[in-house]
Amino acid sequence: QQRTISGMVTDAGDGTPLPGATIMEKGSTNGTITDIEGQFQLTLQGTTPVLTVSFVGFETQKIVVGERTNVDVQLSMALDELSEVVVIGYGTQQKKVATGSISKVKAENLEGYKVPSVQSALDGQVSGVIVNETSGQPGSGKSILIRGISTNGDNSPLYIVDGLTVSSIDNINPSDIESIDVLKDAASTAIYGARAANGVIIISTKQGSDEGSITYEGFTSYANPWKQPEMLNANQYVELIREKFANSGQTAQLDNRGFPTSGEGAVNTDWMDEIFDQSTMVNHRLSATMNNSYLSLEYWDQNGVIGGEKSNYKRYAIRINSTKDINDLISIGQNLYLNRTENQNLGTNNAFGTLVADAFAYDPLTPVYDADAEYGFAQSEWVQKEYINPLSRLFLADNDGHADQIQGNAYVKIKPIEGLTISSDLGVDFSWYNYRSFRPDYNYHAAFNNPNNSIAQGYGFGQRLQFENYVNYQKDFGLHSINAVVGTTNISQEFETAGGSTLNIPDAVKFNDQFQYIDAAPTDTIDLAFGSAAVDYRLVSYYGRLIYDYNDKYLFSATLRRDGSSRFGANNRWGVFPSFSLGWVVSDESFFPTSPVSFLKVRGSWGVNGSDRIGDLRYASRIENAFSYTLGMSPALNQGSTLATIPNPNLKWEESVQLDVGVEMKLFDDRLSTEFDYYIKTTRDLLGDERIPGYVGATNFPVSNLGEIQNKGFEASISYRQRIGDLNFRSTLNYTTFKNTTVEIPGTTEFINGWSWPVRNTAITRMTEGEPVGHFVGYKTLGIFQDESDVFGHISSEGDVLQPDAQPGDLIFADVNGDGTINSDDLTNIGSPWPDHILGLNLSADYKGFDINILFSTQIGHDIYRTYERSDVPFSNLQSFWMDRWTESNPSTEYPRLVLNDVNGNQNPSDFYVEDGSFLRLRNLQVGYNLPESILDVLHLKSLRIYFSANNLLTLTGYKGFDPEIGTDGWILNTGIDKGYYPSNKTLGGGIRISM
Amino acid sequence: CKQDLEVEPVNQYLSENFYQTEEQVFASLIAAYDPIGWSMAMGQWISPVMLGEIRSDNANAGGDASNNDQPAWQELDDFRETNTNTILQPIYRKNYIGIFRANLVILEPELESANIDRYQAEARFLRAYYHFELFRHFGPVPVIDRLLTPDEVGLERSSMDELFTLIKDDLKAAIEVLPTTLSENELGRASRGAAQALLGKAYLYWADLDNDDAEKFGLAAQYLQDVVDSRQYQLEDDFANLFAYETENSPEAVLEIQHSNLWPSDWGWFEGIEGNGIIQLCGIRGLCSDYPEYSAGWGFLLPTADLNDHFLSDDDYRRDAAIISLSELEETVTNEGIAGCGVVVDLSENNPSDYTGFWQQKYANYKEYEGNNINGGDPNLTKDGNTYAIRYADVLLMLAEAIHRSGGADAQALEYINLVRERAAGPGDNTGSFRTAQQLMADTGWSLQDVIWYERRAELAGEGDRWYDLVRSGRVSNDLFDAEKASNLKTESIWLPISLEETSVATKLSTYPETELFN
Repeated sequence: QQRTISGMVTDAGDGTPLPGATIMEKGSTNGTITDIEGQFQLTLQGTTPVLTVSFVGFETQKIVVGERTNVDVQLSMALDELSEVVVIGYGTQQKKVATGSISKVKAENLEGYKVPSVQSALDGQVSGVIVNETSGQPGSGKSILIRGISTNGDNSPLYIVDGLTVSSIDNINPSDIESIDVLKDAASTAIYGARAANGVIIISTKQGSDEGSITYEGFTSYANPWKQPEMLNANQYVELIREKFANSGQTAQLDNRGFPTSGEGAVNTDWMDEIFDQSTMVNHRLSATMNNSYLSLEYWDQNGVIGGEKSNYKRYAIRINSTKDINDLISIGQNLYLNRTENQNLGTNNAFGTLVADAFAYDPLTPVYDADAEYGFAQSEWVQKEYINPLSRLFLADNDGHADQIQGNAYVKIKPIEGLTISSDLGVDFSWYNYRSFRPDYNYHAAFNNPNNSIAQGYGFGQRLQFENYVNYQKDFGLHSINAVVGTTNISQEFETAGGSTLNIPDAVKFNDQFQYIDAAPTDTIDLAFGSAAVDYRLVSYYGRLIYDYNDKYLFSATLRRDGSSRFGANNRWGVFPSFSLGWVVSDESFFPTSPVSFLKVRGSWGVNGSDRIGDLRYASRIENAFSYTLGMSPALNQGSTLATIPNPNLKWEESVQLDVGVEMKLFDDRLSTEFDYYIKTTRDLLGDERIPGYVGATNFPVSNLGEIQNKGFEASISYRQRIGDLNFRSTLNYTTFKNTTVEIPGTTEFINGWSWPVRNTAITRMTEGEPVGHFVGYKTLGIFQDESDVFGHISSEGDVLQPDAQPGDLIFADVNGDGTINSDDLTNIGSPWPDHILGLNLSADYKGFDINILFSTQIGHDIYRTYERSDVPFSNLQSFWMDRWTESNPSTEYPRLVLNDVNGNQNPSDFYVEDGSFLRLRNLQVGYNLPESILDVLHLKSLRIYFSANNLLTLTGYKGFDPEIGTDGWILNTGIDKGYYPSNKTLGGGIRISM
Repeated sequence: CKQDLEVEPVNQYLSENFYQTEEQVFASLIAAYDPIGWSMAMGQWISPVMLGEIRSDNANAGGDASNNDQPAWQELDDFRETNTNTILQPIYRKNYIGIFRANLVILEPELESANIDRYQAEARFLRAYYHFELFRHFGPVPVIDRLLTPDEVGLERSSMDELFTLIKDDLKAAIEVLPTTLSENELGRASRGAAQALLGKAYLYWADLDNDDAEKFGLAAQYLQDVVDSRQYQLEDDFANLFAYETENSPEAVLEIQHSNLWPSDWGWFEGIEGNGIIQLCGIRGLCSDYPEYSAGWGFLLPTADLNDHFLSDDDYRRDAAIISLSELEETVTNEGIAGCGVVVDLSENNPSDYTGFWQQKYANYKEYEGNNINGGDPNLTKDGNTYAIRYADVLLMLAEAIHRSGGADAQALEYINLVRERAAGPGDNTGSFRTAQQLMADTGWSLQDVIWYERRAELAGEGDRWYDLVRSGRVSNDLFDAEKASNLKTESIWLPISLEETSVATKLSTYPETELFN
């Protein structure tokens, strides 16, 4: 029995008819579109027909026809979040029916936001994710944490680009990106089981369409440090140094050495001014799409605000993506990305031997240049040790090198029957790098000299191959819908390096770049050569996933993945990682009122992920060759070889178990859209160095499975949009909070020491049971002794004076354990590098051709340990806030007195050095204008946009150091420590984009 | 797929297929020697020389003006250390790493040859050496004569007798095999004389701590006598020359720890440093850069006034080799008319609490080290001056003591002491002009043992034996130290605590040794 159904499709918002909407009968190819009045008519084929009604920009609706012959459909304007498709690994899924916690960032969110790497672009745009700069130096990596700190090891997420697992996404051209999907809960990530415990970031690049177009974009900007630390000027410096020495009774020493009595008439060098300079960035991007192909070219050239050309990142990149249908059955395609990066680096975030450290410590009495001094740079008479004139450090910096990369995949897809797709995909990630550095001879002062100039030169080659074969099956059976995938992945990886160095390039040519090669030196010098290869890494995986839903209302998915990694011994090579998830679209129930909540979904998931991020062959008894000893009258260095680490054949996968509950909701005619997630994530069998008894005699501790970490967190994403006439307004607020706790540490100390403050020679971070990973340790201070009676009033329970050596103006330390003495047993938790609240707010509006986009990001409640002040350098300059130090006439309660002979230990690690790092940043501000079509037509252009874009235009923080956004260098116990940070840049720029 | 996951090591062996050739066994022996030269490990300075001096009445820690430079050393200097002191574990692990590597050489090779026998004898020497060093720091600690697995966390301290039994057995076995003489390119390796001297020294400690056991003193004398009788060693004529820039592996060296400028040592890998770190660390802090002989150092290991005053008035030559004072430095600058040294030593850079006006100069920071890092590396860490672990003068003084305390002929003991005293009086033949031990005893009323203690402190000043001499002979007392240091001295302070890091994993280990262990 055939019957016909008719009806009208209108905009739920204002009731106007929607011409051109598509009406399809579900499970068939039967369909039609609405006419100019929004009317349609369709002859039904099935017995229990279901219609899907869709229209671009509107939410697709499913209609169960039942016995009706006429249905009127009101389509709601789509909120992107739900109508969009999310990439779930080996497939895609409509966000509306997805049961995992997945956030999506689309190309439009990245456009015009001028940052060199994708990671930066994610900051503030996704809930549950923390992005931190690790340095403001061009080309430096960014640290990303998804859902807290999962492990004591590598916390970076798994990166997938067009299906290819890659080790880094630092060099990807952000404008090639179609979308980024951030998979956060275990149900979503489990399909990548192994190594997905820190979350997965899937990048899909642009694939091109049939329609031909070509786009050019040019952008240039100027960068300045967002802030320059304010240092003491010459007068203040002399005053404070003299006071410091006087407080130790050593004024005579200064006079003997001829230290000035005042800064009057001194050159008053501001070293921060000398090292920081405005820098430039230039970016050209050209892209074309035609015949289902996408082609792009990019040039990026960015100088640093310190060191200019010597702190530079350049990238040349080409992408060619294409897909072709051979016939109805077979299609093929490829993604290919070639890039060259040239990166000139200065040492950063280190209180020893970096430009920033030099500029911080160097005194304002020393001039910058001195024609009589070596290479023309004046060197300080006062600040020595490993410090030199910062500009002479810059002069010494010379690293010339580049890296080339081929990254991509080729695939074939076969569709033998409806709903079934067989895919085979071969991916490669090849990279080469070479470097060449020249170090001149110098003798700046006794502790800083290098008698022989030297050249180092080297090469490296890495390759990673990935072979994937999988089968998808997708079919609707009436209201039942099935989406299944099974497949295998093989990954292998190898790495090789070679290089060498030589000494003594002849003076005549040493600064000539043409001669700065290993064999340019005379033959009588000593050359060192090296070559090495890494142990191959292999990963074999089998996986399957079943997604089922009933009427888009009751949702279920299950995943199982089995991984074998060469990083484990035969006993524990394989790991199995399951997950399950459920969802219920409550708003589709008949009992559910239609207003104000238009969509409500609850979902929950549970799953297990793994990690194998340790070195290769760590389970085996490797003989290492690096333990030399000299013998003989004319000494010869003998190379020793031994077992350095006790093997651990029982090494196994680290596992993280995650439970996630989420609610997705849309209100007020879909204008407001919200998503909330709460999760508990527990990582156990942490892979880490096991502290075995020292008497076993291992040089390095064996890697073992130990300890447990837990993260509990809440994430919210709230979007709102409103159209008022021609004015469109959108905003999205992302909120993240999490609580991280070290649950268990093996052994009885209940803590593991982390990063050690070099001059203090004391670990200042720890993993402690019950505390966040990498929390800070030090003495707790109770203020400043204002007078003698304070000193004698600070007593133990037995009445003993706790700090008998203290003077007024010294810090008061707490006797935390109450044992009557202040010693290292009183070291205690004095802060955490992890923020309590992370917020990102994106505001955008457009009116006719004008648009504005504002992105704020903020982190609240994280602490920073300031470790860049060097207690061991008596003449080191100081920040100007030290003018407020305690003196008799200025009884400060904030800063202790300055003293050389620090008998009280004011310079011991304490909470005096720990500060709140909360900040609010205007991450990006963009104002653009798109030419109207009337003019475009005349110019034969598709679009033309000019825009202004600024990063970090505004930073609000109370933090006194270089930058409140410090992050981690990769070692999680080295997070939030300011060692003289290369600060973030404030950039201002403009660009143009033309499409034809 | 199983096969896919079996990866092969690259450019390295697994222990299962190592120890197959003489070269491989020799390389593993070199690795067993390696820790003996560590002046740093795990981020800390761990020189046994510094420990032996700074804990004693001979020296203060020093360092920068904060009095908090290398806090762990400041603690040790003042007996303020607790079991969280950060150098405890590095020094402990250094020696056990050496023991583990020595055990691999002793236990793993299956091939047999004369060379392998010698390598294994050297490994047994090293195993004894590392155990002895551990004992000197921590008292009786677990004896490790086999390969342990990581789960063996229940070991307890061995007794003193167990520890010295292993040392004795190892050294006796080594003496059987080790060569008496070393060829030029073997210098630095263990010889028969080194094993005998170390065994004599070990017996001396054992006897002293075992209620002055005369029989063990007798055994000490026997092995030390063997060293003398071997005629392989002789006293350097000029005492000062022992510590000159180019003096290495002289005939007086019985066991000398080797250092090298050939490896580009830097701060990135502390255990890989091949230079002698204490040369820079214990150099004169704040010394003006135009000073002719020395470069400025970092001012650790400051000799006390008490040590300076220990030298009798006719013992200046030996004192001058060990100690230099501010006035002596200033005198040199004046005499040589060095214009660039207006302020000879910037005292503002020195630790005012520990400053005494003296600096050590047995590990002097010679200007000649500048620029000799010919293969690169941090110039502060490539200074290649060696360290005497046992030199012939020490052997003679130990022999005299062992003879005397075992009830032997004092005349013979005096003869050996006088050899040392004659040389100490200055270069050339001082026979007839130097004050003999007998005269000294007559002048001062000292006993022979008093003379021996005087001689050991004067002869070996700054070389890292003082504290252990005090400990073994039960002479550590409050009277040796200033009021503050004395007030912190506790009975257990004579041993370093085993660190909390260790006892938290190996929970059966006591922090300080129980007295029963010495019975």
